[in-house]
Amino acid sequence: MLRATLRSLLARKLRLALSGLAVVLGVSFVSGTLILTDTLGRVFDDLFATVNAGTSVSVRGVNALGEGATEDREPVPEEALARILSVEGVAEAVGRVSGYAQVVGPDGKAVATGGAPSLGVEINPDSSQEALVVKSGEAPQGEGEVAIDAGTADKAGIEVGDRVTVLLRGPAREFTVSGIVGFGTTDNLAGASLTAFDLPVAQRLVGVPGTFAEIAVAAEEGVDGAELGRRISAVLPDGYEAVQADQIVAEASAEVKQGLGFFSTALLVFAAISLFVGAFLIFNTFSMLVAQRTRELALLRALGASRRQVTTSVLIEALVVGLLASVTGFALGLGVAVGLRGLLGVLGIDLPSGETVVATRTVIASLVIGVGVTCVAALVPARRAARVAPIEALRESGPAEDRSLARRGVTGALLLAAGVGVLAYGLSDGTLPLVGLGALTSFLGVATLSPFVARPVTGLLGAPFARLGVAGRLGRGNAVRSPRRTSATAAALMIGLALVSAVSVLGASLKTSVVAVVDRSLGADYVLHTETFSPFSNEVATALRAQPDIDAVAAFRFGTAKVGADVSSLQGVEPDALQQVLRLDTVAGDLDALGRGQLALSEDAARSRGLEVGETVPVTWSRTGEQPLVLGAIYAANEFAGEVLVSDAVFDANTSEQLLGVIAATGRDGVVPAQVRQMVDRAVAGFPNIVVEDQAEFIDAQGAQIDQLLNAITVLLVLSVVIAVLGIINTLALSVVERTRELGLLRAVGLQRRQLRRMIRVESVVIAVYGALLGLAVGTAFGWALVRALRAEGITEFSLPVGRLALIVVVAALAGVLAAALPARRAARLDVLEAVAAT
Amino acid sequence: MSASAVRAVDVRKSYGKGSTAVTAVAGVTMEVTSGEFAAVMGPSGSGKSTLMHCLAGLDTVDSGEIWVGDTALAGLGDKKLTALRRDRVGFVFQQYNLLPTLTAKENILLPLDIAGTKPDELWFDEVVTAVGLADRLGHRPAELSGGQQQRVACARALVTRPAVVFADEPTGNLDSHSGAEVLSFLRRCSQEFGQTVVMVTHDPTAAAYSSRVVFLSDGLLVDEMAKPTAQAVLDRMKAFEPAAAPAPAPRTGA
Repeated sequence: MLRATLRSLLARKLRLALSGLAVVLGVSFVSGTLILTDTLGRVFDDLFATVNAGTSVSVRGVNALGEGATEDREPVPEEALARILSVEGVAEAVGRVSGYAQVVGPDGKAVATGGAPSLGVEINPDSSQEALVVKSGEAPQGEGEVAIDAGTADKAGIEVGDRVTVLLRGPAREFTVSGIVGFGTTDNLAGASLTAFDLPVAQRLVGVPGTFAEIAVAAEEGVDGAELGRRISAVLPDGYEAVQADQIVAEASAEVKQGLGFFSTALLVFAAISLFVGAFLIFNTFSMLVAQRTRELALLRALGASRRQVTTSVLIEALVVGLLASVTGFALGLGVAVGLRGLLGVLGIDLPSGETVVATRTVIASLVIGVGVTCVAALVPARRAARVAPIEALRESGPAEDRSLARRGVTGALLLAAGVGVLAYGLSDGTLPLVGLGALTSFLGVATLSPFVARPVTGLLGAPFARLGVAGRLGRGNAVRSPRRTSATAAALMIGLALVSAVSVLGASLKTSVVAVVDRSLGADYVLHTETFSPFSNEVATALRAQPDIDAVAAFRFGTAKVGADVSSLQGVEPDALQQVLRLDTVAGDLDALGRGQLALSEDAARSRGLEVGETVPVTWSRTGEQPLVLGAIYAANEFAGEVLVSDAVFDANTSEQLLGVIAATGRDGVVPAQVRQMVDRAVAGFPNIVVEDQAEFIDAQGAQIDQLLNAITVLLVLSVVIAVLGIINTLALSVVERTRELGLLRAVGLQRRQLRRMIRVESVVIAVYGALLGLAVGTAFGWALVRALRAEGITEFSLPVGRLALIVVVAALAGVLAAALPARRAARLDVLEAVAAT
Repeated sequence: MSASAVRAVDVRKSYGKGSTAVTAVAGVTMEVTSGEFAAVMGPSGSGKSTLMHCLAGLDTVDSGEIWVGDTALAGLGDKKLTALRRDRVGFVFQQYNLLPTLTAKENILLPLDIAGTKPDELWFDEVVTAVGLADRLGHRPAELSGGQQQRVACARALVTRPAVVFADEPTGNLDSHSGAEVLSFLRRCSQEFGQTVVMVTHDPTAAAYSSRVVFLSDGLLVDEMAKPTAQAVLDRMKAFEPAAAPAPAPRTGA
């Protein structure tokens, strides 16, 4: 039996290869993502280890919030250095400084880092623990010199000896570039730009004067790090800790890995979608192959093969296909990982070279997933193969489509109901995996119920073609008369396009909502921020306030604190300017309370914590620990105000963050807007990292970002759509083989080759458009559900991107034409006599 | 009654429901003794193929009993029926007998392969020599003529030494020469190897190779003829034609 199985497999190499391709693509995505994230993880581990090489113990302020590496620690006073040096076993102790510094290139633009931070640090070339390596020139000395990282120098075209402007926390300054530095073996720290100063200069300009961000301690030879840590702790004042170097490395790595984790999960979700679509393909292909092998299977049954032997033989075919596809996909994944890494490089994220990490789990995952998907998808066809009656070995015509549709209807209805239920629950609960599961189950339900609507819909779709001639009539007839086949072929396309349309609907609704949100919540004329919303200097606010026609300037600082029982992000802002730049509806209390050092919460934040105006709320800051604040006001939800507001004074007293997140400003009443705009532009002239937007520009910019994200997601979904189109080609090709005798008869009776090709093309287009329409319907419904669920997050408007959806249908029709090309050619080339005599 | 290779007792079978119901076999009782080469004949629609399918365990009867050797087919589940087909029954169909992806040798050994038993080398050689295909064993069906394909099918039917070999119009697609080869082989099986063969045919020349012919008409066994000749069978068949003399009273076979 095994021999018969393998032989029949080899005979159908091409057809199985096409369906296996779907699995190859999906698996390559999975393995590529896993390889990339593993490699990057190792790279960062090595990088952070290099940075901290030589350091055994690090002294820093305690983070009262207790959350990972979120930095807002009390700076370490200089005096501690002497005390530490006196501890036995300390070979060296150096102060470290870290803060904000951004280089302005010769073109006048701030050097972009694509989202990575712009760091200002000290450089101590004599220290054994110094991670920066001077590549050319010298380390900076004194007030007027800096060294910059090689990556930034390359990007901006800066050389040793050039004069550059550096944006700082305070006023920007000019420096001479004394040297170019690297980080370990790389040009920069994973895309972050580094500007290094002489230590006392760094303390003053970038850190807090008289303090260090941390003190790095190297141990004498033979001294145990843990022991040294204990000794040092003994001499430290309260509020500071001595931490082992490997803990620092672990914390830094963990933060990076969390980010990588999100990235990897997102990619894996897309891989899963492709695999899901691929499973449909496998199911289809095997179903058709089983149907075509009815006689052969019946013969085996007649000769005494048991049902189990027949099922097993089909599953073994699936196993072999899955295995080959998994291995190929895994190998391809290596290429995918390299490609993704190159992509990151193009985006400016320079990663140190390291060997590609292929973890065992990647290999196992690829194999298990590939084989699993193929076998599960082939399960139903395999069972169906076993139900072939031995007597069919003697029958002439193919199996009739008389299997009961009723059972299918019940199953489909149940699946759809279950899927919608899980989806609704997942959306209300906010559990993403449930949403995904519900969506997939719903898709399965719709695909199962599809034959019921296939006949009338394809009939309608094909009507215009039928009008055009006999080829059109026949093509439409083919699509209409086998609703099961049509549905199965269209199912994969339906899923891919459902997701694309859901995302489009979500994106369009998001864009429309932004307009509503801005209208509703923002009162300011202008919003100022950096391109990536990274922190910038307060000098910008000062410069704005100096302008005559600018009325209110609200400078928002972003921070985190534990308010009551929950941690949340908060903002510090000038209370007087606040109400002029935001449209805030006070629900309880009075926002002026902010000026008295009190707290303001959004309605949701207050409700979820069960707080009322007048109550004293314990607010835990990472630097100052628990501080009691009175709740002075509760305001209605406002996307710009966020959940928690405090005055700038309270904020500054409890955090060391002196940089701003965003500025909102209003011009004085009665002044011509163009003039106000001029003033604003003049004020920010010295800050090339700042972008000024009025309300309309802000909306447009947000819209552009949403579009970017939308397009990126759509591109990733295109993979699934490509697989779906492959499915259509496959099915058409198989159906041509199945209908060989019928096609031969048509040719014998006088149908031209050209007409035969057109017939197949019509069939293909009808099926593709049917799939697209179904996908659009399901996707729009899904998108609507998502919009409803996200209402609390600010997506209040539902918008239907009609143009984009129409485009999807058109593209599907074109895909149908393309998909038909090969099968149509094959059909037209049939030799008439051979075809008529075929089995 | 162990000398009986296959036996039918009052077998009835119809297809379809209600107004479209068609009675294929209307109550047939017959017996084929061990080693006999029996032919079942009748005009189209007489139910001969249906009867054979039921005898072979390929289809179920509505009522009546069927015995293959000492085993009653009624009440056998699918598994046991399948095992019966594998070990105790051989088939030669009119066409599509062979798996196109296997060689002649592999096709012949297929039932044994399915059962997982090792073939008896001597018996295999004997059968292959008997059908005259020793030099074609490595060829695929596409490389064999129609007659050669049928002979491969015969060899396969014999290789398990079944209780009975059923042949459904084995020469229907062959020219007279190839057909004659297949038929004489079947006769040799019966006469030399003691193999029971039941053949359904509409061709009087083919029927002449058998040792006994039973005639079916409208689902009923209407006549028998021992030691048939082609001419006698042809004459008898003419009697079935509508304008011919009325058929004699149906006799139940012994």
